[in-house]
Amino acid sequence: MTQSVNKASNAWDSSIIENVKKFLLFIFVVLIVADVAFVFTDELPTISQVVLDSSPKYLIFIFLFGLATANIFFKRPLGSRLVSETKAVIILTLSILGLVLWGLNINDDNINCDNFNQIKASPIYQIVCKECMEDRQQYLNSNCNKVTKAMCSDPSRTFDFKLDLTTEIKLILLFGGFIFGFLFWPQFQYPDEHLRTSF
Amino acid sequence: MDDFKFYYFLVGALVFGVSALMVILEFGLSLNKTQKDNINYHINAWSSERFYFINFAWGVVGGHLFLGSKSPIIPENTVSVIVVAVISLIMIIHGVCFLKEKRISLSTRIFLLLTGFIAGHMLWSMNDYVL
Repeated sequence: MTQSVNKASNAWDSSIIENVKKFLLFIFVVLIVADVAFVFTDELPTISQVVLDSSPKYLIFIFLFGLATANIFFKRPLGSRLVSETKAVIILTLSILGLVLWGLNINDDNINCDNFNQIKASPIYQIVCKECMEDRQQYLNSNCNKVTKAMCSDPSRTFDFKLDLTTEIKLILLFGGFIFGFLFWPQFQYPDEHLRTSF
Repeated sequence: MDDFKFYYFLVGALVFGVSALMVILEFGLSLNKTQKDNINYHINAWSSERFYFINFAWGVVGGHLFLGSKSPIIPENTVSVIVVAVISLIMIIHGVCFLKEKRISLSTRIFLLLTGFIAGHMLWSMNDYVL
């Protein structure tokens, strides 16, 4: 029984590397084709637009992108662990939980045409004004300084106001994720890392 | 607007579905016996050799999705996409035709990644005022 399990496991292991490569290429092609298709049709919002609009509620994605950058491109040398794996998991879990709670607690539902220009910009948050085009299924950026009450009260036009993080805070989150990924994410280099991986 | 919400959900579900699939696969591959089959290992290996454009492209995607200037260098979005695509294409051709077995240095990779972030922020921004 144990032998047959091991045999199945080895067969899976030997074939999986090539399958992983094929799967990765498939995913990249699907995403590129899908995004190009979404750009050329006015029915669907682009993938980029969906990710952009996920901020600030899902600001955790910015942090995770930084973390993935460190994890993929800048692996720590073998054996250079700053804290134990248990501490690393606790630190990362708390950080991620804190950021998720922060994002979900940001409430911009009460921002509307009447009060959007009364909300002061801060170093952390900014007001974003968008207008939905009649013929397109997405909102386009408007300069809030040029949006008047008459414009957004016009029933033929659809405006959306939201609170978003400033670019500086997004950069800090991205960089923070990178630092956390580099210092705390459990990762390692293989001893023969210099060997070329065939494609 | 109901259509809008539905399509928004559809695209969001596609993106997060694919991401979740990748994460599950990565966990599965971490737990099996074979080494060097992880997704991050392959991307790392490819990006340090002839497909070094991945460093630049990753930076561009990061800058494009999460940063973005309100006054990009090229206001026309289509032109900026073409510029980024041409730069990436030049890197792909150079890498495939001339780099062969060579590995690129860590400093070059950092430079490419940072250049990509700046390109995503300054060239291919989604935060510029369209209206």
